[in-house]
Amino acid sequence: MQGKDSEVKLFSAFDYVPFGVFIIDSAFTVLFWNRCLEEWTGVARSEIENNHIGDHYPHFNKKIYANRIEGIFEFGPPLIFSSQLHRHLIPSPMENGNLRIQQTTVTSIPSLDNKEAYALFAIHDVTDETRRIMDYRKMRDRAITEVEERKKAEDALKKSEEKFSLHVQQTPLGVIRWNTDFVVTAWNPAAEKIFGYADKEAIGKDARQIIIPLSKSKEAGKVWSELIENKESTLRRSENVTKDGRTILCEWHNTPLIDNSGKVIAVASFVQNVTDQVEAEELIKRNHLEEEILNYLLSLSLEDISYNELLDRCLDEILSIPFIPLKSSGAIFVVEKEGEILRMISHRGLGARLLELCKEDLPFDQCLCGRAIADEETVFTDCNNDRHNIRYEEIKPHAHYCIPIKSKKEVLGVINLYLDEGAKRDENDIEFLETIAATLAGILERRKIEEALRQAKEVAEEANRLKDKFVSLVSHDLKNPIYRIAGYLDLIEASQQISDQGKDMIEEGKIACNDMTSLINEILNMNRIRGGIMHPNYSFVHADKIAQQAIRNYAILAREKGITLKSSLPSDFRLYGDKRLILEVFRNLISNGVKFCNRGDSIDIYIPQGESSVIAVSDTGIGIEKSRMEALFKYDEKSSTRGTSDEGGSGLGLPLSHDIMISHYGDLTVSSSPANGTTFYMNFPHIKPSIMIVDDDESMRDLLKGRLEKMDVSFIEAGNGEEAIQCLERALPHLIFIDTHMPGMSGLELLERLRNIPDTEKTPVIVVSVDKSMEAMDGFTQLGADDFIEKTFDKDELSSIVSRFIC
Amino acid sequence: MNWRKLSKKLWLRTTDNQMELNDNRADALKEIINIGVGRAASTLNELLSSHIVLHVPSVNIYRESEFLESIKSDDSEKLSTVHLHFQGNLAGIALMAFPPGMAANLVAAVTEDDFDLIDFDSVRIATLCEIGNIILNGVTGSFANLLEQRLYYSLPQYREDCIDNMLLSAGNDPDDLIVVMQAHFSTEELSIEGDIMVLFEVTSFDSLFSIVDNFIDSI
Repeated sequence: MQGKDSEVKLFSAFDYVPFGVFIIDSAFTVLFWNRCLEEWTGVARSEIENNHIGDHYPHFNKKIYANRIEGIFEFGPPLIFSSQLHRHLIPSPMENGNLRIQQTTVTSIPSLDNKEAYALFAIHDVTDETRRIMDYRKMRDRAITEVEERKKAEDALKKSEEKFSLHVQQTPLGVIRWNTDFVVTAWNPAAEKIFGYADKEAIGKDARQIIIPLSKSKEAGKVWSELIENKESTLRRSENVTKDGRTILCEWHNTPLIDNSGKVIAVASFVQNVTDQVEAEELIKRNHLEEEILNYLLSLSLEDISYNELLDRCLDEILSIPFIPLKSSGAIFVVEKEGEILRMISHRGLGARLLELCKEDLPFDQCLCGRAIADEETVFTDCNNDRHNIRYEEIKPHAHYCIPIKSKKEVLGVINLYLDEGAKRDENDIEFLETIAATLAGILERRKIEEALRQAKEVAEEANRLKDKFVSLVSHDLKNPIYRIAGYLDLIEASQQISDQGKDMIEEGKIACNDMTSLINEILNMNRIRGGIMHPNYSFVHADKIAQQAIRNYAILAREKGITLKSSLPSDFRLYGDKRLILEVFRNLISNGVKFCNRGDSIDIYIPQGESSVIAVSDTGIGIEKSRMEALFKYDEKSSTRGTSDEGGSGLGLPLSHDIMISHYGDLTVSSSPANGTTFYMNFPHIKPSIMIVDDDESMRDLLKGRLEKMDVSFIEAGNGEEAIQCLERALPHLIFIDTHMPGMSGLELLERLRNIPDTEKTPVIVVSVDKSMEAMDGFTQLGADDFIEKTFDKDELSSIVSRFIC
Repeated sequence: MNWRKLSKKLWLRTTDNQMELNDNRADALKEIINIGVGRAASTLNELLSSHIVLHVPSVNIYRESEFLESIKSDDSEKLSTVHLHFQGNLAGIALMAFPPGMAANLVAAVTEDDFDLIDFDSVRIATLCEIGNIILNGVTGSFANLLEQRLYYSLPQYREDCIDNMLLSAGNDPDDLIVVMQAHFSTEELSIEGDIMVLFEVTSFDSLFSIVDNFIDSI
C-alpha cells in the first residue's frame, strides 16, 4: 500500500497536464484519476480510484478493450484509440451538452518496483480540432464541387464555343463581323465562297471597298449609320458585287452587338446569295401570272358578251401584262373576206391619225401586221423603220411586236403591240405573247362555231315552233270536220229511214271517223312527248283500275270479234306513274291485241310470275313476223299492218307506248312468234312509297310507323324541322307527316318551307295534331296541307288517308 | 519505385541477397510473425466488425543496404505508413506500409466516409494509425513475448514518404537486417483488398536468430 501511495503521489504530476489521464493496473483498478478528468466527467477521484474502471465505464469490460489493453500490462507496445473509432472513451459532456471527442493513447508504465506494468491512458480533447476538420472538409468539398461545376461550365462553354466555331466555319451562310466603322473583322469560308475574297483579303477592309457597288455606296453608308444608331437587328436584301465583278443579290441579317453599357461595339452579319432564289421566285411568279392571264382570257370566252367586247377585253388584258414592257397602245386585227384583208376590231391608245389610216380594210402586204400575217411569224422592230408602211409626221418613236393569231388551219388575225423605241427583243416575252395569240385563236374559233350553232338553233327552234303551231292548227282544223261528220252520221243513224245497207255504211263511216280522230290524237301525243311538252304527272296508281278502264274502251269491239278480254292484275297492285299515259299504253296494247286476234282468241293482262313491277299484255293472236320485230317501236318507215278483220291503223301506237314507258324510266318489250300470239311487257321501275315522319317525340314516330308497316312502305324520320330539310337533300318522300308543335321550327313553318321547295311543292303533307279543329288547322290549310289526323292515329282513318296518296 | 514493382521485385528476389536462413529458422520466423498477425487480425475483426483476413505468404530477411539497393528507383512513390521505434535487446523500427489508395479506402470504409478521399487530415491519420498500430503491435508484441525481455516503444506515427527515405532518415546502419513481410489484407464486408508490407529492421543479427532459435526450442 505504501508503494501504491507513493505511486499515486508520483502520478499527481499528471494533475497539471491539460489532458485527461487515468492509470489502471492489470486488474483494471483505477490507480489514478487526474484533475482534468474530474472536471470533464464530474466524477471525483475519490469515487473512482481504487475501483474497477468498468464500474463507471462498463465498455471497458468488452473484449475489444480488454484484449487490446492486455499487452500493455506486459510492457507491450503503446496503443492508439483514434477519435474516429472511439469518440468518447470516457464520456465527458461539455457546457453545451455535447460530449468531448477524444483521441487516446495507452502506454505501459512500470510500477515503482518495476515488477508490474500499469496502463496509462492519455485522453486528448480533440473536439475543436475535429470540428475544424469537419468544417474544413465541408468547405473543401463545397469548393471542390464549385470548382468541378465551374470546370463543367467552362468545359461546356468551351465545347459550345468549339461547336459554334465549327458551325461558323461550316455553315453555308456567310458570317461576317464588322467594327463600328464598317470594317471587316471576321470573315468565314462561306463569305469567301459568296464574294470571292479570302479572309486575309477581306479582314481590315471597309465593306464599300470590296462588296458594295459604287452606285450603292452612299446608300449603304446611310443604312449602316441607321443600324448603329437604332441598335436593332435588320433583315434586308441588297445588291453586292463579287471580287470578279459580278453583281449578285444578297439577303443580310445584321445584328448590332451591344455591351453591358448599351454601346454598340460591333455588328454580326449573316448573309446568303439569293440571286438564284430570287430569279426562281420571279420565274414562279411570272409563271403564275401567265397562268392567270391565260385563264382570264379563257374565262372571257365563256362570258355572254359580244365578239367586239371580247376582243376589247382581251386587248386590255394583254396591255396590262406587268412583266412585258408594253406601252398602253395596241390593236387586234382579224382576217376577213375569206382571208384577204385585215380589219381592226379592237384598239387602245392609238392616235386619231393612225386610226384614220388603219380603219379601212388593210390588204395583207401592208405594214408590219401584214408581214406577220403573210409570214405567219411574229415580227419585231425596235423603231419606226421603213418596214412601217403606214407612217405620218406626228408619229412618235416606238417599237413593235406583231403577233399572228393562228389556229391549226389558218391565220385568223394579228395582235399589234407597242413598246418604247430601242426596246430589246425578248424571246421569253415573244413566247408568252404567241401563247396568248394561240389562246385567242382558240377563243375566236370557238366563237365562230358557237355563232354558227346559235344561228342553227334559232332556225331549228323557229322550225319547231312553226311545226307545233302547224300541228295544233291542222289537228284542230282536221278534228272539227271529223267531229261534224261523226255527228251527222249519228243523226242519220238515229233517223229511222235508213236501210240496212245504209246503216252498215254509216257504221263504216263512224269507224273511219274514230280512226281518224285516234290518228290525230296519236300524232298530237307523239308530238307532245317527243317535243318534251307533255310532262308526266307521277303518282301512285292502281294499275288494275287503269287496265279495267282501257278494257272498257275496247270491250264492245272485242265482243264483236269474239275475243276474250280480261285483266288478272291484283286489285292492290301499285305503280308509280302518270295515270293518263299508262292508260294510253294499255289502250294501244289492247287495241293491237284486238286487231291481230281471231274469234276465240283471248287477251289477258297480268303480272308475270316472279316479277313485281312488270305488267304483261298477252294475246293468243296471229303473232308478229320476226322481220318486223326490230322496227316495231320505231316511228320512221311506219306502215300499219292490216288486222285480222282488215283493220287499219296509224302505226304510231306502239312507238308512242314505247316512248311513254321510257318517260317512266322503264321500258316496253315484246315476245312473239307467228301463230303463237304476242306478249308485250310493260317494265316499270320498282318504286317503294317513302313516308317521312317529322315529330320530336320518338314514341309517336314509332307508333305511326307501327300503324303503317303493313303497307309496304319505307320511312324517313326526322326529330325536327331542320333535320327534315336536311333529309330532303338525300331523298324525297312521297308523303310527309308533320307534327304541329316541335322545338325550333314549328310544323307550320316547316310546311311553308316545303311548299317553297320545288321538289316538295306538290308532295302530299298530312298534319298530325292533338287538335283537328278548323281554327287550329286554318293556317295549315292555307299553306296547302292535304289532310289532318289526330295523334291517336285511328287505324281506319289513317289507312284511308295514306291510301289516297300512295294507294 | 511504385508499389507494384516493389512487391514484385521483393517476391522475385526471395533467394537473392538474402541472409542465409535455414529452413527451420525461416519457418520459425514465419510462425512467429503469423502468431502476431493472427492476433492482430482478431483484434481488427472486433474493432471493424468485419471479417479481416491477414495472410502472410512471405517473410524474408535482407541487409538494409541490399534492400535499399534493390528497391532503388527513380520513380518511387509515396506510401502511407505507420511506424514505431523500439529499443532494448532488439532494437529497430517496425513499419507498416499501405499501398496507394488502400489507406484512404480503408479509412473511408471503416468511417463510412466518401471513398474518394482527397486528403488525409489528422482525424483520418489517427484512424489509420490505430489500424496500423494493431498490426504492428501484433508483430512486435509477438517478438517481445518470445524474447522475454522488455522493449521500449515509441508512440506509433504516421508518415507519407518513400520507404527508402524512411529507412535512410532513421539513421540506421546499412548492415541492419530488415525482415520484410508481405501480407495480404482483405475484408469482404468493407470490399478492401490489397498487399501490405511490414518491415522489421533489427540492429542485431544474433539477437534475431536467438529469438528464432528460442522459439524453435520451445515448440
